[in-house]
Amino acid sequence: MLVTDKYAYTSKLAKKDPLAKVIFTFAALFLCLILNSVFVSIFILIFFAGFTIISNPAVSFIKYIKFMLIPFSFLIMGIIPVLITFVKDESIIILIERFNIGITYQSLSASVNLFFRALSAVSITYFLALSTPMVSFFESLYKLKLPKLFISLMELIYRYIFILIDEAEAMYKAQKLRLGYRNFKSSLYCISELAAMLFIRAYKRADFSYQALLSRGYDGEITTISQEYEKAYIFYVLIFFIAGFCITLKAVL
Amino acid sequence: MITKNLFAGIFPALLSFFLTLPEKSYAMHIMEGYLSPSWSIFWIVLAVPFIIYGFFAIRKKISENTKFFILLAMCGAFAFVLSSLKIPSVTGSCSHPTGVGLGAVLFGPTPMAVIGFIILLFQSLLLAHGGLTTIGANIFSMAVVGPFAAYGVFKGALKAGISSGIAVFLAAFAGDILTYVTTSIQLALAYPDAVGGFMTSLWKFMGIFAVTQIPLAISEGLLSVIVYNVLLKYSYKELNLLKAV
Repeated sequence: MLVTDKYAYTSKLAKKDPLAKVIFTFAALFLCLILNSVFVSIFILIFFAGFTIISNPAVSFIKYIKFMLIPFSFLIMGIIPVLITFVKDESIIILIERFNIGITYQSLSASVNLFFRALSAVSITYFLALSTPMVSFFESLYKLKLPKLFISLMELIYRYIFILIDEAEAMYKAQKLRLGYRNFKSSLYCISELAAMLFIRAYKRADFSYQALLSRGYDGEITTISQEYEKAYIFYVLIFFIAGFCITLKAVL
Repeated sequence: MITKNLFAGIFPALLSFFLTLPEKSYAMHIMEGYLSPSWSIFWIVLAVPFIIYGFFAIRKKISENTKFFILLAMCGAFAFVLSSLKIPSVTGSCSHPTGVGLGAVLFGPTPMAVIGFIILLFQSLLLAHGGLTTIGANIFSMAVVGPFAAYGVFKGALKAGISSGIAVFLAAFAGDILTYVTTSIQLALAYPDAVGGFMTSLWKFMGIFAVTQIPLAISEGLLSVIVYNVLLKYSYKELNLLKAV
């Protein structure tokens, strides 16, 4: 279920300084949104897709395309209202003549722009997601001096997600074996019971966890030893090159 | 179960979209890069006070009882897993619940802002639903407006003497609908119609997302009631501790 998490560990960049990667990602996102041009977006899309595929041996081209298709349903649904609009006179296609509904040059260029900008932003996020395991991501948050309690909460939630997914999968299998999910009514009942039981189990787990932590000297704070990471100044250099290239691209075209 | 179905579902989802019945639709997470920088920052600024307030509320509760921390973490994980389950939709397709209503009823709306923020961050990094730049807008609709609406409706319905089952249904339904309306408003503000302006754009966004969101709200309402009833039967004590009864 956690699509990207497994692949993040196989990346060649997994051991690099996570803070540099986070800063790199946010700088690129900012650049992509602020320049807001089709050619810049396409360049960023190609660059980050290539970078991710080359740096991660487990992510093939086909797999990457599949990743990119995940947010597609929102993309299509989100673009249709921008694309189809009330037409005055300068239209390309009139879909419903009576109400003057159609596509104009303006709406077409706006939606093409939006399409590529969203896709390139997704490719940037995938770079972070497919090169930084969550554990390293938390390290970068510690370095950013976010409240410790908040990061500990994130770490615990992340840990518990896997425990609960395992339980949910076991329960799902058991229900399926006992002829669950036959029709709408049965599906609704099965999934509801699964959710309720999952909550009860989660509550019990929390009890056990708390006892285990207490017996190990827990006093409201969880301290962990941070890992050593390789320095990665290359990302700071790289972002300057990308920024320079993108700005010239925007100025020229 | 979910891993295998995830990729298998994408092409059917695309195909069935054109038959106006999306196979699977996540709750309305605004995708990465969809909002312009000014709107992204605007919604982040609007969402931050709620997160800070929720954070201090959590900190206060933890200083009273350290167990609350573990409980909250488990609840957060539960909410994440809940939002990745597939629930049967009344139109015959499947969709993912938001967990907004149930979460707000169980844990109250204040900690939901913090938990919602963490869940949305995980969803954008692990599942590619939502995004880092649009996280402010998503927090505002899904972790602030939705839970507060659901909680308000739940408490109001209980005060009006409606049975708790129906109150939970109404809460979950209202939470989903208001989340959907808020997201539509956010999208319409960012992309107003060239001719009709904000209102035309709002109707367009609400119209297109209604296809998935209204059936989802009904299904999630039903789901929440059954979950709530089972919990009431088996773990009344725990619910009492969380002050949800």
